[in-house]
Amino acid sequence: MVKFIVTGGFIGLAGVILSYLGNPPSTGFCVSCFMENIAGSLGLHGNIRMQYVRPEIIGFVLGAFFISLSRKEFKAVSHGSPLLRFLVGILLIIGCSVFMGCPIKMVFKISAGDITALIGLVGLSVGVFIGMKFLEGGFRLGKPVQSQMANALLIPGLMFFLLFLLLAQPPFIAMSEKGAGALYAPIFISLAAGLIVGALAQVSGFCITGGIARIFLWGPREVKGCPKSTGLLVSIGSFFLLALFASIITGQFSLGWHGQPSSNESYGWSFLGMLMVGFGSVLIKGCPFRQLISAGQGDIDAGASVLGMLTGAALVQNWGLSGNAGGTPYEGKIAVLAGLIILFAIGLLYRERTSGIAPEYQTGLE
Amino acid sequence: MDRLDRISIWAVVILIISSSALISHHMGEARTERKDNQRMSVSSYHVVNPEVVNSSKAIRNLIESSNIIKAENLTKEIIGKYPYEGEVRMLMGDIFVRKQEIIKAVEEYKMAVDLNPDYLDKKTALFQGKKLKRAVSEALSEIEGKLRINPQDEALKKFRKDIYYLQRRIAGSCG
Repeated sequence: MVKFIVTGGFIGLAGVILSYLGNPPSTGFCVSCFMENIAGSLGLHGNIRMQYVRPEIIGFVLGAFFISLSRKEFKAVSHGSPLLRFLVGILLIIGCSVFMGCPIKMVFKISAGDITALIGLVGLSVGVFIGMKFLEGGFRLGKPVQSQMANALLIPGLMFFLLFLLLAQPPFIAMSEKGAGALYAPIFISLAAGLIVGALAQVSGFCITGGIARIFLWGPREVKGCPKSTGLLVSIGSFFLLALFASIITGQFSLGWHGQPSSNESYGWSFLGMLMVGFGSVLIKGCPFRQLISAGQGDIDAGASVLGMLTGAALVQNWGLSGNAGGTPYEGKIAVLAGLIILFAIGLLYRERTSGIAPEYQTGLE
Repeated sequence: MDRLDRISIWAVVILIISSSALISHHMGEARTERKDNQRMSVSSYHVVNPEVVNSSKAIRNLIESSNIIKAENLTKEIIGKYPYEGEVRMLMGDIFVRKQEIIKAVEEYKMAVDLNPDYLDKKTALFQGKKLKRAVSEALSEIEGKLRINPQDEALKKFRKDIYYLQRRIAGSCG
């Protein structure tokens, strides 16, 4: 139980401290925002306010990579659906950008007093519920098979390359001089925080959607009987409480409905955006953060999700899908509806109607 | 075909109908927005217009010497000529503050920030976040007071919505 409390608590505390030290408000960690920053820095989009190679993302993957190597849990595994995971990875980032934050940032927003973020939590939970119905109805990605080790090293290798780019800052890399991309905590503090979070999440299996999914899978009573399920919920609780405490201490807490950072009045679209994230996350075995951790420990399909997330981040900026203080743009609304249609279609097409929960989803449910 | 299939197909049908309705409803609006976006992106390159720079200096001098009416007339003239220059909108806001018309001031500040987000960016020399934050909180308390007297006033409600928007812009975001 200690590892769960420490994981959640550290994420909450470190995230708020990173915001205090320079990251954008309520954005100590945010996979979608940071992916957009990295995509911009690599020249995949042209928003000059969103370009920075975020060391936190590098840290998540490499932290999980090193700890899984040391625990002999680094395994090159494929589920045979990399393109599906790539596509859903794109959709996850689109959903997050409409809400203006990933599930981790959602918790940071709530802990900083943003009441509107609770709408996102409800949306995420409904999405997880729908996803669970498909899992119970026989949705499957494919049987896990051992793959070549070199495949599993690609995403950690990409992160080493990004780390090199961050430190060397060659001229072809774009770095924002203003806007959210120019707001960052000191590089080595961000990197260290990311490495620790990545390692802790690999050990504990921390995942926001995974924790919520277990409530729907077994119900609140049965969850109590499963140490990992209880642990995941406890880690989300400790994440929230430590982030709340740190937000109050550092003066970043402001309880209210209006005037919150990364928020708008498009509540319905925020709900649907997060619903899409919850739904998609369940189908591909984890929220955007979990995809990074899984990719770090050798899951090749999760690596495809990470590349999909990077592509999604570029699309969000290039096509103007992201929510902003004024609301959800028209293009973003269409993208959410289209994304939900795609997720339902995926759910229908990948079902084996005579089966229950597929074995690949049962691993780790002990 | 089981229950989940049927529900999913219904969900897809509803989503397709909703998307089609949204697309047809926003056809014209989307075109206008695109034009606006193009205009915004042009203004975000921030080409320094010598006439605007000189006029801004003159307006600032007039405000400092409390020659508010002259400053207002000159600002209106420049806004008429260059409606997409954030600097003159910002000065217009300052003029309204001096005239103690705080709600109008905030409306001008909102337009200035929309035209040039650098006014809310701590990393730029143009940053005026603290001034805007003060103006927003004063305007909000004034509007709340007026709305208590006249709760059905739609214009005031619209102003309050704009103030909330500016509050969110000031609070910042990751995008």
